[in-house]
Amino acid sequence: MKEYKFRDPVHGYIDVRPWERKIIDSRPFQRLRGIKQLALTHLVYHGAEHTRFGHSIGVMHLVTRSFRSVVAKCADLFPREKTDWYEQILRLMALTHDLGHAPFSHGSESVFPDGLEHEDFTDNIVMETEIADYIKEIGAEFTKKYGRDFDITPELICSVYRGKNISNPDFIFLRKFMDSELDCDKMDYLLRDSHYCGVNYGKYDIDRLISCLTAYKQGNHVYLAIEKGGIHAFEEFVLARYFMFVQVYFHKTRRFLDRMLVDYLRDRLPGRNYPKEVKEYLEWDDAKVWAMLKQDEKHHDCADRIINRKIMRNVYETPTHSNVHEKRWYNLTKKRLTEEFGEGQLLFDSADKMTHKIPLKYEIDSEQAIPIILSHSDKPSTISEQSAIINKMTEPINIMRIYAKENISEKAEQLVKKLMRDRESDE
Amino acid sequence: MNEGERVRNMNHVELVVTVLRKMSDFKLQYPGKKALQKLVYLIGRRGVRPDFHYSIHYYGPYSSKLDDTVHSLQLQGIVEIVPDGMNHRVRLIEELQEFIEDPHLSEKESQEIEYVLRNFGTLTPYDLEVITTADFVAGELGKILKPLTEEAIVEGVKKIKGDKFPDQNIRDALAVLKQHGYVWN
Repeated sequence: MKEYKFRDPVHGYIDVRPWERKIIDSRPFQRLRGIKQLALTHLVYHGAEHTRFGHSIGVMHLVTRSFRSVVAKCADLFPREKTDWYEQILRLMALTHDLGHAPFSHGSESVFPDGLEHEDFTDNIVMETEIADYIKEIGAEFTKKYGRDFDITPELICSVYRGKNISNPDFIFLRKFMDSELDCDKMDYLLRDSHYCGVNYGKYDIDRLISCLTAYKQGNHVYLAIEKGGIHAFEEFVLARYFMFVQVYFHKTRRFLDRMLVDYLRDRLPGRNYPKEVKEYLEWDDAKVWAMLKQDEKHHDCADRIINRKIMRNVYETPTHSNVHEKRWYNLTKKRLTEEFGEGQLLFDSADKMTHKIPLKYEIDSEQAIPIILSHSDKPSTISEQSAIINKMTEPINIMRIYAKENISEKAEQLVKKLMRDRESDE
Repeated sequence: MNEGERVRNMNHVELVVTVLRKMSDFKLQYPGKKALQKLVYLIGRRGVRPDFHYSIHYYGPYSSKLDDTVHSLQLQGIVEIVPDGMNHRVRLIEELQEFIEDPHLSEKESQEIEYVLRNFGTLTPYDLEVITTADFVAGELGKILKPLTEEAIVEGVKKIKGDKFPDQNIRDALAVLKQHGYVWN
């Protein structure tokens, strides 16, 4: 089977199988070229123009490397035909996992209809468009080669990715490569976002990390784990998540612009939501929303702020790890500013709105944890237990911010300074 | 659910806060993370929204959305995670409740949450795991098997969990679920 080679700025050459190429060349996948990975971050870090297209191919590359590394280390984990089958399932899950993203990725997720999430749109796109046919073609190849038990269908890919498939406990193990403390989605986006933003915070030793992945069996289940020798690479990975969150994902200007985007879309989308029907939904990409914003720049405050980069000033911000007193102080400041200037002049934001991007402290029995295998003990451990740095870094990140409109920003800053002086003199 | 009863739907944070408040009102022990996962699953199965999008994991149905919600509450200082032996309990910080708005909760939702807490709130994490796993498996099998038999559910649970639960435990779990009105197709 001739494989295509895609040149990727993060991983170098990426091998793509002919049947996967059909998926990549399909209209729903090509749409991802028009969905920026980091919403409006390019208005802060100008290099952040990268899209879900490259990320999806990058994740496919990393799940393959990671799975092969584990299988090579644990030779008797699965028989040959199952190994091939699982690898192809993983590759397809990775390739298709972001198909359902809305324009500007997570930036506009809160305008999905009826409590749907981008994963629901992914399911519908995988099962209702030409992508379904291409996956069935792959299934037919596997059936021909290994028998009917090794069929691959769109329903199988969606159900394994969404954790709805109860036919095989190994599927829980496969999911860990895509959804866990140390999954290939995060591995790719940290390196990719870091590269395109032009920052070094998101870099870590990917080769070491992947080479230290392993697996162990317990009862009916296979668990993805990491060897003790990978602890430092794992530390680097968690630190990368921490720094990228603080410096890029929760950047004050980026967050403000994302908020303007959501407020604008809520106001201007027909029915205040994206369409539910797949064909209509697929018509939406960043360019379409950007065109709307440009048309509206003179008629809608949020559009004006995004297009003309009018940023409200951040007049107060809590420390990264604020304690109870600092939280109380934030609430007091918020109350005083609101009394003085009115809520319409202010905007409030907090890190809890983005918990999916924050590195957390996982206990060993957490479903998201990737255990560390120690040489001296049969009992697996966690990165927070093994690393004092990570134990501290995974303390709750709870930055809270108050922005003020231009006409009151100076007065608001003065009031905050006065409140701070009063607080210091009280203490 | 009568939408006219309130201005807007409850969100994820409000649902979790409500569950924790009611557990405290009922003098139930603060739940471990695993028990909370399973109780919220059973509440969701009674039609209380929003959906936490559960998936099958090593210890039964699990929602990363719920994990994120608990973390979000921790960031806001509304709950704290307290180590308790091998477990980690989710404790509502009473003195900070001044910062929590009253949830947008209908009478029906309130009753369903209380029903689950009264009937399942004192069960062990192991019992909750077998009950919710049996329910999850039955729900998925129910989409493809008509009629759905008890044998098929027991086999389905064993396929995913191996020998972790004896057959009788699975059958007992199914009886409990039926007794409390959980149906699958």
